[in-house]
Amino acid sequence: MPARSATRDPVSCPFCGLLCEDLRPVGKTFKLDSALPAYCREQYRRAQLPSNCAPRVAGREVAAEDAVARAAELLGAARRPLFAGLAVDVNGARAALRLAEHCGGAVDHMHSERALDSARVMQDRGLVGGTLSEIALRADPIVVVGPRILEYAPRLLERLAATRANAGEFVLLGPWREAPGLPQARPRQIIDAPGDALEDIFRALNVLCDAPDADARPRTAALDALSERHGLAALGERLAQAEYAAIVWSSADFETAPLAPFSIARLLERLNRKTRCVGLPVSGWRADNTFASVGLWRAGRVLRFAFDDAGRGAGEAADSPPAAPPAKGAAKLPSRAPDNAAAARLLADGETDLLVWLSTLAPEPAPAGAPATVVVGHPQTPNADQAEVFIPAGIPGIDHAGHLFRCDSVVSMPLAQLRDDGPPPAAATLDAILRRLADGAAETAQ
Amino acid sequence: MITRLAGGRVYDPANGLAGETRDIFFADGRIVPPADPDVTIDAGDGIVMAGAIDMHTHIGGGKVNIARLMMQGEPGEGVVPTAPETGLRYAEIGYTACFEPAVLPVNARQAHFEMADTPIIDTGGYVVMSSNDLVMEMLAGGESREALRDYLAWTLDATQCIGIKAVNPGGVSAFKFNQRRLDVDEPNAHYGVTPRRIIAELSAAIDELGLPHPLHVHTSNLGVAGNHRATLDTIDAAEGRRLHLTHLQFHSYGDEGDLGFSSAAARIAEKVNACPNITIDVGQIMFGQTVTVSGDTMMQHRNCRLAAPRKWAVIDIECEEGCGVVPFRYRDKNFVNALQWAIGLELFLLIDDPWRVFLTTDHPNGAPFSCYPHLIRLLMDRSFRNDMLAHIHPEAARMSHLGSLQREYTLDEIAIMTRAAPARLLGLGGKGHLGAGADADIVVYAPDDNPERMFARPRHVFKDGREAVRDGRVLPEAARVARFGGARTHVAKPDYDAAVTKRVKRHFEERRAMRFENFAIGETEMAELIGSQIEVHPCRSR
Repeated sequence: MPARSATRDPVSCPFCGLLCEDLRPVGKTFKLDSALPAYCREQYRRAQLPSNCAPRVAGREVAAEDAVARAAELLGAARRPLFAGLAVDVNGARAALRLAEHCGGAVDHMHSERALDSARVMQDRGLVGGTLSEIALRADPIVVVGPRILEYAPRLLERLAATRANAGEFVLLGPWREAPGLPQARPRQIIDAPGDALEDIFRALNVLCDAPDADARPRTAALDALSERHGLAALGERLAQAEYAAIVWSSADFETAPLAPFSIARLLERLNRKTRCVGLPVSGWRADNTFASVGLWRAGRVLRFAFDDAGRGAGEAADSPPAAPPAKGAAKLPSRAPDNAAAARLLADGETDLLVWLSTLAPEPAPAGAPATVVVGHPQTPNADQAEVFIPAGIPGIDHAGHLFRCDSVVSMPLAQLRDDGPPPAAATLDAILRRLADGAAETAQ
Repeated sequence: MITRLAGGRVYDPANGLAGETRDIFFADGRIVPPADPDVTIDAGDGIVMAGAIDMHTHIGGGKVNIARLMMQGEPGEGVVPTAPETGLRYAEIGYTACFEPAVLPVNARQAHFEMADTPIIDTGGYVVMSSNDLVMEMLAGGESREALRDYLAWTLDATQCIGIKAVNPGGVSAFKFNQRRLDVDEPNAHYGVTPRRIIAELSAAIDELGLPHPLHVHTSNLGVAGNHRATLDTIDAAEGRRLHLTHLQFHSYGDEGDLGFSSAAARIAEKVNACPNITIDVGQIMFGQTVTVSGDTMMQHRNCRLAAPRKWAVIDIECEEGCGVVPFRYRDKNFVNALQWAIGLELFLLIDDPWRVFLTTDHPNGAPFSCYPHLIRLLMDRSFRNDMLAHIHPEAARMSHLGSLQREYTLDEIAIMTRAAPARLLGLGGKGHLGAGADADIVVYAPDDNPERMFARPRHVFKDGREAVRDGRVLPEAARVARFGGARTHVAKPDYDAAVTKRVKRHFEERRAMRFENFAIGETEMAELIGSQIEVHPCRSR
């Protein structure tokens, strides 16, 4: 597809789950409006091509097909490969899963620890939810738990406040010091509670809103004191009386309280018996929800899982020879025991013989600890020479068109191509590796 | 290369064949007139039909994926298979085309990604438009029929779909404004528009667009005792225009008897029989664990206390629609579930015209599609059916007419209901039949007195003339997820006045957290990034 002129139309930004559509990066340095958050400007700055953007094997520059061949050789020999990182767009995720299905081994997204906290709420309990447009249009109040949520979505407040037809109030819950991007005209209240009180705050709200459940904490003096200190009775009352309210949070603010979102889900369930209140768990950091969605529809598993049998998958590339047919009857899904596939543990315990690290949205370095590493990644990935194989890959939304899921995990946004002199998409490289492996298997079979 | 499938007994209702012995010739993916073959496959005593078509099955999109997430580790984990498994398992029971009935406009990309990763079978989708904020605004504001019609056509084009769906029309919107029920003549609390008006306007617009497929309607009050009245009202709301009522079983309930729940299947069937403009699919339930996925947030929320296991999700979506996921277990000894089972079968047996009734379980909502062979046996084998009836809750068995219904479906009727009729209703000229020019989607069954065994294990399934399944197992070369043979997505693109995009763009600017320019799925995007080739079907001018 032809490269677009970056200055003519605004583009969709791939660098966090908001997928903002109003950026106009200028020139080869992708300069952005200085009013934008530093994070946004930095991601585009980092997208510039380095002077050395060539594939490498053991630190030496090689032709692309030689790097692909060496990667295929390593994967073919690996008995327990680990596919990790996985900060890629939809087609990168599909290709990564095709390859992992063929090779077997463990799969673990770089942000799975936090992202699984969110996925578990939906998996184990469910949620009353709402997407970005619904909240921006209808919600009053909009409770936003933070401020660490801004690490995942720097322009979140601006996006939640973007629909002019809504003048509703924001309730910023947590140790907020400022409200970046929130227009002056939007009323706001800050409930300045420390981060480690957030879990108890939602328990207290549940008690106040009379959300009985087997695992609900009883009313205690400590919860009463907390409610008193932060005016939670008034907040609970507002939520119960609102026509349409919203609670927005992310796992960033619940790192030490991973079960707190279950309290939020219970609160939402309770409130929706009488009125309307929707939750939005903000995801999309390093495309965790993109990988989660693709993994679910392709493999039936979310974010961290293990294919038990190497080579069980059918080769996918268009011209690759067929593998054994899948068994009839109940499909054998990949193992969902998360510990079996946790990258950090596998690396620390020496349980993987090859790390395949994929990260095209950010130059995240591959973790150490594997006997050998294959990296398919962002052109500015550090320590590329330390990998056995490094193949630079295009940045989605910069070097090639593609798609990512937005922070509400419902909308997928198309990404445009801004330059045509960057490296090839990760999907193309991964499929080339798969073709080499499948061809090799066919030769062995003959 | 011309292939001759020799000597099978052909059931091709669209071309007047009901078991006659005929050779079928195909080449380059199509059925061709008889010619000197390069290859001959002996069909033996096999029963030959066109590939089956499931015109209402939840196979792709966000709510299906949420269901996959929720059912992990639960009994019934596989009731919503992965996209790759879905294609393989459908092909193995002789299906070659499946249609996702509830594509939410802004989630169309995800639906198409999943369908592109569904091997072997052709796919397509119906886009939900009946609680869409802009549709509601247009109706409330008295905007022109032309504008509504153009907006529907634009949306079909933008979402790469083949039909328009109504789900609890106006009700999904009403739930956002805290309305918990919406009868057919009840106004939406915010927009003041009734379901009756929505049905009337959408069905009229679809007729004007010349869309082959009628408005596909999940009517108001799904699952509520006495809801047959809403179903009858909905039929009347179409004012004689074509209408397709989906998973009608869930909408055929009376409220008589001690438990306030009864079958109204006879009343509904009588109405359907009398109204040739109406087609239906049944949405049969089967006993066991499943999960319900639906765009009907209002009713999914109403039913959430019945969730088994106890978890559920309901999501308001992008000023368009919504979705709800509620795991569910149907029990044969539960009075209501038992009667639901009987009601579905009553509908099949009481509606006379097999060209107007389609076999579905609303997968996975009534049951997973893997049970279709069992369902076919229930329809064809009365004594088997009565054996099953003897095992359900006795009060439900007593209340139902099922025991007295003698009818047994013939193979010809099964072929109509699962092949010829859905193809016709969707305007798929090349499907559902075996005449020259048709797609070479061909199934050969080994004859068996037990229809369940017969339909569960085809001897051969050809897709676009390439063998995909043999003896009930997908062949290795067909098992890859790359679109095997010519698997493609069927769409309709009626004409519209592009001036409507100004109206749509204004709506996006005022109300949506997404740019208008990023909404529509382009053809290059569809083919090169999503990975689906489309086949465009013509619309008729009326």
